[in-house]
Amino acid sequence: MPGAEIIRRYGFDPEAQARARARRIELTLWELGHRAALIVTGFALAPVAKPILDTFTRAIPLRWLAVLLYT
Amino acid sequence: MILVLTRWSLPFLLVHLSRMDVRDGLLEAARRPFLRALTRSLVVLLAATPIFAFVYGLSFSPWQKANWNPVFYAVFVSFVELFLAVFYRGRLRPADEALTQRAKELGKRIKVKLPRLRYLEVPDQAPGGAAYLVIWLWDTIVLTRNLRNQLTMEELDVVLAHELAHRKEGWTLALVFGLRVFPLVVFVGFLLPHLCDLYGIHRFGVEALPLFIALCETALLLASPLERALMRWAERRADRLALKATGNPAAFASTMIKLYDGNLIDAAPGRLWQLLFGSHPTGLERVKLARCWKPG
Repeated sequence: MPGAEIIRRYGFDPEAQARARARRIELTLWELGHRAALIVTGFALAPVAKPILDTFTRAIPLRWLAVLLYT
Repeated sequence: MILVLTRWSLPFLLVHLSRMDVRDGLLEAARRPFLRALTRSLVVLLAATPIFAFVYGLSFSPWQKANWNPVFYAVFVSFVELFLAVFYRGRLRPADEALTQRAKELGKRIKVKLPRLRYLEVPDQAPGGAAYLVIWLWDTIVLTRNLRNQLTMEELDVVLAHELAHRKEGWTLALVFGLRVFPLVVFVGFLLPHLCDLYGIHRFGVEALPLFIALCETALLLASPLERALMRWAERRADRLALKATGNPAAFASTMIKLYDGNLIDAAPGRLWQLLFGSHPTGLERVKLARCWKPG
C-alpha cells in the first residue's frame, strides 16, 4: 500500500486520505458483516424454519382474522 | 424481476450516494458496525418469519405451491434501497442551461444521445459530490448540485464525459449486470432443491426462505471478485473515452483528486482490497492514466 509521500506526490491530500482509509475499513466491515450475518443466520435457520412455522401457525388461531379480512 | 430492478437500476445511484451521507449517517449511528449488522439481520429475519407465516397461513393458502420466495427476498433486501431511491427521486431538479449545452457538445463528440440531465439537491457546502448514470429504468445523468461549486467547468466536462461514455457503452454495464444474475440462477437453482430435500422442506414454501437468502448472498459474495473486475474494466473504458472526448488530462487528474479527497474515498486501497471490492480503478491509477495520456 503506497505511503503518504506517494499519495502527496500524486496530488491527494494525505489527511483526507488517512480519514478515507479508516472509513473504507469501516465500510468494508459493515458490508462483510452484514453479508456474513445473512448467510450464517440463513443457514442456521434452514433446518428449524419448518417446525417454527408449523408451531406458529398451529398455536395461534388466525382463522377468525381471515374471515374479517375477506369480509 | 423485482430483485433485478431494485438491486440494479434505481439503486445504481445509491451505490454512489452511499458514499455521501446516507451510509455515513448509518455508520455514525452504528459504533460497532458488525454487531449492528448482525443484530439487524437477526431481528429482521426473526421478525419476518412470523409475518411470512401470517401471510402464508392466510392469504396465500390457496396458492401454497406458488414461488413467493424470490419476491419476499427481493422486498426484504431492497426495502431500504427502494425507500432511499424514492426519497432521492423527490430531490432531483432539471440541470441549468449552461451545463446542458456543455453536455450536448460532449455528446456530439462522443457520439451519444444526451440523456436527461438532473441535479440532486444537496447542501451547497456539503463536501464531495457524485455523478451517476441510471439507464435501466429512466435514462438520466444525475449530478449532485454541490459539484457546481467545487469543480470548474472543465472538470465538470470530465464528469459529464465519463457518464456519457457509460451511456454510450451501455453493453459493458449490461455485462456486469449479467454476471450478477448468472451465479444467482446457477448457484441457487442448483443447490436449493438439493438442500431442501436434505432438510425435508418444500423448496417453494416460505420455510425455504432462510436457505434461499443464505444461498443468494453466498452466490453474490463468491461472484463479487469477478463482477468487480468487470466493473473496473467498464470504468477504465469510460475514463479513456472521457479523456479522449475532453482532451484535457490536467482537468481529469484534478477532478479525480477533488472527488476522491472530497468524498473520502481511499485513493490507494491496496491490491487485495481492490481485487475483492474495488468497483473503480484506484485514485492513483486514474491520476496516473491522466498523466500518461497522450492525445491521438
